[in-house]
Amino acid sequence: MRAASLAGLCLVALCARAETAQYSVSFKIVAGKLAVDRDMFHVAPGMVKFEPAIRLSVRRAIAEIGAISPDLLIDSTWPAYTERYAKWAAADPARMDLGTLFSSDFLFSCLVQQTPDNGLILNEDDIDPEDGAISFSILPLFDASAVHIESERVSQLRKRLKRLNGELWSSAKIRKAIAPLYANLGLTPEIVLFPARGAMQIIEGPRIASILLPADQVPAKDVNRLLWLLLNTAHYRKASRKRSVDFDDGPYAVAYQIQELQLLISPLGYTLVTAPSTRAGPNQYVDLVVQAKKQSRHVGAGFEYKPGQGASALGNLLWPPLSLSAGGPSGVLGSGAYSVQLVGFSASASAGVSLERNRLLDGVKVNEQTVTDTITLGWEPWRGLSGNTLLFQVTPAHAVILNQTLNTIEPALRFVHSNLASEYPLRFAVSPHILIGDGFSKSIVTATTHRSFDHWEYDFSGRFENAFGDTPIFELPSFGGDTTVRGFRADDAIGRRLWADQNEIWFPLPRLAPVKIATFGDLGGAYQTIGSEPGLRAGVGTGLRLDLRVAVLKFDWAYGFGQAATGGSRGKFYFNVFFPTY
Amino acid sequence: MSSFQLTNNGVTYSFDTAGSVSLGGQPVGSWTTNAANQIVVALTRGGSQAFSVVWSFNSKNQLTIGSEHGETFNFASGGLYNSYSTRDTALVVKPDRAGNFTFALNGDWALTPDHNLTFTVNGVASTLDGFVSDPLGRFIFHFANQDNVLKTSVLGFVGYWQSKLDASGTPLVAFHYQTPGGEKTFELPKAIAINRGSNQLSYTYTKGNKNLSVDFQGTLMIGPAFEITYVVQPQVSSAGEEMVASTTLDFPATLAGPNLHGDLELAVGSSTFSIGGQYQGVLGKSNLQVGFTFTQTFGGAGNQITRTAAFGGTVAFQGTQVQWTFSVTGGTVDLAVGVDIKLGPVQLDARLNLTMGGGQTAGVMFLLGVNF
Repeated sequence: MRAASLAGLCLVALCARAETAQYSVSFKIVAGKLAVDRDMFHVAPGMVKFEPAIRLSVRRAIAEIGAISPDLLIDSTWPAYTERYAKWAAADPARMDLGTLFSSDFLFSCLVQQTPDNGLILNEDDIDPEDGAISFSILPLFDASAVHIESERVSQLRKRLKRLNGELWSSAKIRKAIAPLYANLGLTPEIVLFPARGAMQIIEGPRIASILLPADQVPAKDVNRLLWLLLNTAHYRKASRKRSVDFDDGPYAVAYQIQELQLLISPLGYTLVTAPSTRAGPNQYVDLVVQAKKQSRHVGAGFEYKPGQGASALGNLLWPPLSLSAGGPSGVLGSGAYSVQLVGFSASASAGVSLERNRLLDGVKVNEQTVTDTITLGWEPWRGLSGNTLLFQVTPAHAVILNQTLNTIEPALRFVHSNLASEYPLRFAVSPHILIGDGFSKSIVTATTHRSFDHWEYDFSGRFENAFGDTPIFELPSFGGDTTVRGFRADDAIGRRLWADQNEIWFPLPRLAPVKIATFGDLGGAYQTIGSEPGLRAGVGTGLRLDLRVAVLKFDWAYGFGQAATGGSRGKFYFNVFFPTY
Repeated sequence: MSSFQLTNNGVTYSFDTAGSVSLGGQPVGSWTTNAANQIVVALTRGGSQAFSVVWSFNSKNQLTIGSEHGETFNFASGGLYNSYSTRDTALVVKPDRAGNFTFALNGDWALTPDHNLTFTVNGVASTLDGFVSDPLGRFIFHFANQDNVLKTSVLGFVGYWQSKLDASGTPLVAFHYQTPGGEKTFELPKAIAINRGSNQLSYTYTKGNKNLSVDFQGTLMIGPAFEITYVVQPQVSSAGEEMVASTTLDFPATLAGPNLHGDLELAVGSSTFSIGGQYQGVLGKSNLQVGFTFTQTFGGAGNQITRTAAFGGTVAFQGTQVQWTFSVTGGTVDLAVGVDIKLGPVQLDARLNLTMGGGQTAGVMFLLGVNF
């Protein structure tokens, strides 16, 4: 038997309320509005400390209630007011009686619909118009394990709500406690809280219903190339050649992940737009629609700064499949590339001239000019947008560096693991490659990992280089700069073997969401050196990160410890940009 | 303290409103009611006696005991503030709101067309003059002692909501609740609607000088053919007991408005649901579509949900007029060129191109607030 009653709550509630904390108030009238005359708590000793907060929130909620009668803007005791009101109401049949007005449907409807924070539930059956009194049940002190949560991440949410245990229910604090989880996931959830039943409904964000490749936008030859980039390999195999890929319960439409997809398909001349789907459900559903770019040519510009080597500018024209770059006075002076992407395969041919100023090779300062012709062939047997991606590359090259001709081939492998749907999103990438030339070789292994927690992030990267045979001095591992140990400039040590690791901790800056502050400590070593001391070197520093998720701008200052071949200041600034996807 | 007398086998007992029974001024036991609604005296010396009485509410919402000779006792006499509640659909009476004594009456409930409740005990029907209203979508009946309207009571029932269209096409909702004899319903007599401010289902009516409402809380979904689905949120009493279970209400609907401005006007049977929000152009799978964005509020800061529903249909030239034609019904709505829709040169995206009357092609640059 399920029928119970509200007022009958009287009986049931008397028992229940004997165990439930209560707060009662009786009213007087001030300027025609309700004002608390007397109040009384019936709470366990452990809740006494919350009484001021409860009292304050109730008084604030009561203050929001307007005048009871526009014609009785008086100060009065409640009994006297009821008499005045009765006469006033009797004068006009259109006026509502005070018994009806003093109820959860009229005067106190706002207290029912918008429960005052601190977990105060109006006892509707205890509303007493005769005495001008109401009472509240106070929800038990917050217990994350007892909250009813409608979400896919119940355990993750409970973990974050646990810190509120032992406090009064607070909708504001609940929202704040779970915000970092969704910020990490890139989701903007809709959170609806129901304090009376200790429940919360979280709609985590729009879901992708379909990926669409309209025939008027995407010619048949490009369908699979795009699907390869937009889907995980397993899903691609089922969706091959389809212009409409439907998801039963699709992934969330996370803005930065869609931006990453846009970057991936941009070289093919396409972009992605989201459009509301005709699919209806508790979530908002959207379709991802591939569109041909109205303007396929893009012009970009940027600058680069390397400590001790100065700043340089770079301009780029992207006109798929062509890419042209020009800059100076250092870096790329001019280059062109032609790229082709097929399903899982890619190829590009490029030629260019670059200049690296102020290199210090065995004590000799030189401007290193390089003229290069390369072909890069890539094969991606497996890719996962949130999962594992494997890429093989081989790059034969013909280069003239400092008037010395080098013919090399560079096989490389890149493995990326990402778990972006995790409560603590993780990216890990490792990339071994080897440069093989005539009578020499150089192996390089790099690895990076980044993980975001609720209130901090770590970013670790490591590098190992080893040269074999008769490696030209300008191809020997160079110690210093933003890829090895900061606090040093490039060529502060040149040796046949090098290792370095960078350890960064990021903290978000309050109210400046994309901006984070980073502190870091770098450590590394150069061995079998030429023109510099072998051994360990270290750098410590701090910096700012403008974390746009799809790209991160880094501004760093670091101080180096250890011998530096180039001399100069130990404090150095660095500025660079990196794209986590790549 | 008020009291009444009942006689059995020539012995007259006196019953007071605190639950005590006396004989000749001497306490002899206590009283309550049994499942047959008889007054039962539990004698201190042992044993019990049952008295059959007639229970009814008079026209002033005051509970009385009567016999074939008329009213024997009025529980509101003597200025008592009676309090009423329900438990398992039984009416629980507390003669003195400030006291502890209660007794229960078992009967059948019904809702009248003018939103009063009738309560039938042992075949005797009484009408409680009050109103159904709640800001959270629960079935709660309010009434007051008509001699002192400040003496109010509320009766709440536990159950769930269902919807239907009646024979005349009026969308109705009914509250289903369990009784010992099976499931029964309170059918709200007027049409249900949507509160365009909160975009929640709302049942509103006027009674006397009162504008009353049952304001629901739930999730509103609008399908591509305008079908409305509303998932009612569960609700509890102030003591935390479930009063409304979650149910899904479905309403078949068609577009009622002659244009695509302002609220979304949907015809549901013979009624119109107005949903607050705004239309917008949406690039659909294969063609330009019309969407509607709306926000639902649940009370409380930040408690809101925003959705955009995309509707199945096509935008096309018909004669000299740009029209939106629904894929399901085939109905059309004219779009005002220059206001609802702006045309320009042919667009790269074929979904944005319309073939005009003369065979030329024009591109849609703007549709319902969205530039393309």
